[in-house]
Amino acid sequence: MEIIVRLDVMLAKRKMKSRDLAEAVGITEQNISLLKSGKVKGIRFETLAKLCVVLDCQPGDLLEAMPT
Amino acid sequence: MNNLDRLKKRASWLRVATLCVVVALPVLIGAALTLNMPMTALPQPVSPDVTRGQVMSAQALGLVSVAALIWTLLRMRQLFGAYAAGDVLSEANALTIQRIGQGMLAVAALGVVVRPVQSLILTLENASGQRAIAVSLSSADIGFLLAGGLLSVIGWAMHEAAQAADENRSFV
Repeated sequence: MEIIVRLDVMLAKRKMKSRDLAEAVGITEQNISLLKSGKVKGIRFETLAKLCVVLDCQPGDLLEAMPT
Repeated sequence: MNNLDRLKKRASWLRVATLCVVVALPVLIGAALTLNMPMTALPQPVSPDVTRGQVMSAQALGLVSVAALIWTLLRMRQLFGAYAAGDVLSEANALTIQRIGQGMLAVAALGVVVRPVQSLILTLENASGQRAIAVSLSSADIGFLLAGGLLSVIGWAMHEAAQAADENRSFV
């Protein structure tokens, strides 16, 4: 089982750019890019909470468990 | 000023200070050679019958410890440079700390080994029964041994810390 990050889907739905999201959440654009591509080992709850506030969504909208 | 800024500032100063010592040591030794002064402390009082060649050989042997000390100081300078640049918890720094520990152990070990050889060189031309090998362990040797061992262990601990920091960096 692996966790897929659907950040790009939510960004498209909210018509928001990665740069604006990074600024609103308080992390670097590079980290947003790494998160979108799934090249991170984990996400802090604090970051996840901020993403949900900015994108007006639930954690389940951003994270999906897929069988490998 | 937060801890990281404090660390960077102090490391910057220490990097310069270490470089000054690295440059000063060979200059002082060169000056001593030029002025025909004893460069290193010889293990026993030198008798008037000992040849200049014996004295120079014994002193040259002492330079081996100086070389090990300079190597260790250069590793310290390397570490201070990394800290001054804000690079604190990394695998490279952990390895450098271990190298500093190994260098200090070498300085201590060389000190203990070189002194008996120096005393042998200085008394080699003496009559039978008047040759000596002086074996000693000074507080400086013990200090270097303990400090070297401590830094070697800290280097291993910093390796673990670097891995944890790397893991932390991969979290957003």
